[in-house]
This record gives sequence, structure tokens and C-alpha cells, in this order.
Amino acid sequence: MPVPAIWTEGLEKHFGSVHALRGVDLEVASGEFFGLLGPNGAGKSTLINILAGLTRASAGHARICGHDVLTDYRRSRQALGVVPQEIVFDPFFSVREILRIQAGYFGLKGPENDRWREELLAALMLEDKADANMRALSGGMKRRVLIAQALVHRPQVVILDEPTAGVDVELRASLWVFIRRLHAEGHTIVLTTHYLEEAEALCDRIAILKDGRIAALDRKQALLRRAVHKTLTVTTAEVMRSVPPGLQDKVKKVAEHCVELSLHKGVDSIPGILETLRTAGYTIVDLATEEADLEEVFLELTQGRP
Amino acid sequence: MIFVIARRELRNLFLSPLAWIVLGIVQLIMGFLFLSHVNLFLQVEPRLPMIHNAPGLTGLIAAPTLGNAAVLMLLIAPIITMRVVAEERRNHTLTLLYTAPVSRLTIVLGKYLGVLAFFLLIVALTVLMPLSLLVGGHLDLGMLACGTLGLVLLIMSFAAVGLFMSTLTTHPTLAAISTFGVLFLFWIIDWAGRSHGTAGSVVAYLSALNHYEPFLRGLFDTSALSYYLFVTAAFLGLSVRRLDADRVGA
Repeated sequence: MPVPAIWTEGLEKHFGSVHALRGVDLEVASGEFFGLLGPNGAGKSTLINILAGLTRASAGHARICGHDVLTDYRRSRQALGVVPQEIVFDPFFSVREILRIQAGYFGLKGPENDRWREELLAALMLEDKADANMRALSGGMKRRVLIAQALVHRPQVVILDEPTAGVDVELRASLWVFIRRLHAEGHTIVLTTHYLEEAEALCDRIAILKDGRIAALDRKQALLRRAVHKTLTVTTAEVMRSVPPGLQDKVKKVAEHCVELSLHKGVDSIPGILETLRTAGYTIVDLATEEADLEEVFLELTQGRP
Repeated sequence: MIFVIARRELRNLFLSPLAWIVLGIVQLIMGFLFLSHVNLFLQVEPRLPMIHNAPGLTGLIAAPTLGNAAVLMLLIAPIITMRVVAEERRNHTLTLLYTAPVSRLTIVLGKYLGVLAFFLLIVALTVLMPLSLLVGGHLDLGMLACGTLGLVLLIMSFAAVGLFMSTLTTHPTLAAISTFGVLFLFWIIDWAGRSHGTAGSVVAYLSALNHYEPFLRGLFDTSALSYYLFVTAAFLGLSVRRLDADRVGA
């Protein structure tokens, strides 16, 4: 059986009276593109910090590629690259120097590693800025340097902690092209993001953390099927003056000739809804249904939306 | 890995204007003090043959110059060490080191050796001044070497204290002030000891100055050597413990 890229068992973390993680069991297979989602304060960063060796778990175990993060921390950290959420940098060094120093921390030297660093600079479109001081770079450029830093030791597992936060659309697109390439090359990618459409588009499996526990962990399609609501959009010939009383609790949006309703899959029937509208004097011109997206599943799971 | 961290630390120092300013000011002050001692020597030189066992160039110029250097180190050690960990913690760049496969001990030793290299450069430049007297005079090289060793040991302990203080805070200025406070206490604790009998002499033993003086007289004092090595090891050990506490995240 292949060794999982990330494995945790019963991870607990207390910060004083705050119980940040409450027994997290997680297994991410090698080569997977995994999404780690959750509202602020759910415990995502704590989990990542434990995996990266920045925080020690109060209880439980964690392994990266089979190496315990505490007892075999050298090899676990060799196997892991973390792109932090915050933009952190040494203000006095150039991009090239920062990458060389970071490689030095991993004991890497020699022409082969020099070539890899140059490849990274090229892939992340940093060649022109390689000798520029970090202070002179834009926020997006700094974010690219952080990604290069995390990859400088060619880790098998890459954790991206909200890598596109505050990044413009063009840069975000180029970052995803690069990250997809990394995944195609066999790296295991763990992504945390607040842009759920990104997670929906990229991840094979998704875990949703809530209050320090895993509220859901499944393949993306299975997770989407969990949604209990779907959206029905009805276009009417008449102007929508008032929504019939039986439908008012389902209204998401009302426009002049259109009403958008949130239907509970197991309870509401579309013919019944249409009949209610017809009875109220509306002529149905068009209708469309839309399945829930990840955002709705996320809200249902994290906010307990009915 | 220790040397990678040390090299980065030293380079970081020289990439900021602070190190250059400190080097310039120290050389200016030490040059002034050295010339003052030379001038004083020239004034008393005609009377020296009349004194039995009179001190030579080393005793009258080199030793006081190294003594002055120690006082100056008391002032610059806090400035040089204040940023070592405090600023990295403030900028969150310490996490880049924490996620690398290096132990906390390696981090502390690397950073320590980096700042120590800077201080050794200052010592080397300082010692060059008395050594320049070899051009036209005779020096007791053994005494000079002993004094230099004393200064190096003193600086080793100062740098360790400064490094530890820097691990305690995210504000470099606070680290500098607290380092100066601790070093000054280590310096003046000797005064308290002078007037309080046996208990006072125990307290006076803790004085960094007391252990430096034998070296300036050309005495290789193993008790003083042990004292400096103990202080250095103790504060480096405390620094490792402090960095490890970051990981516990209490």
C-alpha cells in the first residue's frame, strides 16, 4: 500500500482555553490535489502549522510521506513545502539570494540545484526580477517568490495556504497554470482558499473543517451531491408584483419577470411550485434549474444552513 | 547548516547600514583612545628607565586599549544583537527557518556565530592598533594575545546574552535595552560586592569585569575562562529553550 503524502491521527491542539483542533484524522494520497476548506478560525492554519513543524500538537500524530513531524522532522520537512498565507521576506536580500539561502537551509548546493533555482525563476516569471531587492517587488511578485521558496528543495508535498489572496486576476490565472503543472509532475498539492470556485475547479478531494473538526471529507462530486438545495429560476410573462405566500420562504431573488427559488431536494417538487405560481395568475414563460455549487455545500456544512 | 545560517546572519548585518555605522564609529573612538594612550606613553617614556620593573608599550598602550574596547563592546553588543531574532520574529521570517530541516540548536548556533564573526572583526581591527606599534617598538606578544583572548571571551558572553534577549521579544529596541541592562548589571555587580564581606565577594564573582582584568595583566585564568564559557553556554541554552517554546505555541 503506498505511503500517504499526509497522514494525521487524533490531532488535538489547545491554545490556552481555545480548543483549536479536536481530533483530526486525515489521509491525503500521494499525487492528490486536495482542498482544505473552512471558515476563519476552523483550524486550517493550526493544522498546516503542525504539519510544517511550526506548532507542536497537544495530542495525536502527523506524518509527511511516512515521516513523523516530530520524531523524524528532518525528513518530514524535506518532503514538505509550505507557501504561507502572509507575505514574509527578508528585506535586505535579492530574489536570487533568498532562494540560495533557502536552498542552503536544506543542505542543497551545486550546479544541479543552481539550475533548478533558475528553472523556478523562469517558471514563475521572476527572471527579470531575480537580482532585484525584495522590497522593490510588487505584492504579486513577492507571492511568486514565496512559492519559489517553498519549492526550492523539490518537496513531494506542497501546501498552498491561500496563495491567491489579494492577487490580481491575471497573476492568479498564471499561478494556477504553474500549480497545475506541479500537480501533473507528480507533486501532492494541498490547497486552502477562500475562493471556493478555485477549489471546485482544481481539487480531487476536499475536506471541510469546522470548529477544529472535519465536518466533511469526500471526493468533490460526492460532496456536491450532498447539497440538499438546488435553485429554480422561473420567468413569467407578467411582472412579478408579489410572490405567492406558499413560496415566500424559498425566495432567493426577485426581478421584474423573474423569481429565483431555493428548493429542498427531498421536499419541494417543481410541478407543485409551478402550479402555485399559475394559481397566483402568472404565466410561465421559461424555467431553469441549477445544482448547488461548492459554496452552497460549504455554507450548509459550516453554517448549518437548512 | 550552522554555517549557512551564520553566513546569512553576517551578510544580513552588512546589508544594513547599521553594521557599517557601528564599525565606523567603533574604529573612530578606538583610534582616538589608542592615540591618547600613545600620547600618554610618550609623555612618561623619559621617566620609565628610572622605575624598577616599569611597564612597557604593551602595559601602557595595548592593555588600556583592550580595556577601553571592552567598555565599548558593552555599548555596541546590544545594538548588534537586538535584531538577530526579534526582527525576524516581527517580520515572520523566522517561520522560513522553522520549516527547514534544522534544529533549534542549529538555528541558535548559526545566528550566534554570525554575530560573533562581526564582533571578531571588531576585535581584529582593534588589535591591529597595538600591533602597529611593532613597526617602531617592542611588544609583549604573549600579554597582548592573553588580553585579546580575554576580550574575545567577554564578547562571546555578551553576544550570547544579546541573542537570548532578542529571542524574548518582537521589538529590537526592547531587546537592545534589556541586553544593555543585563550586561551593565554583570559589569557593576562588582561594586556591590566590594563592601559586603563574604556574601559580597560571591556576588562580585559574577562580575564580567572581574574576570576580564587578569587577561589584561597577561594572566591566563582558567577560572575566568570557565566563567565566560559557562555564561555563554547558559544563555545559548536559554535561547534554544525560548525558540522551542515558539513551537509549543503556548
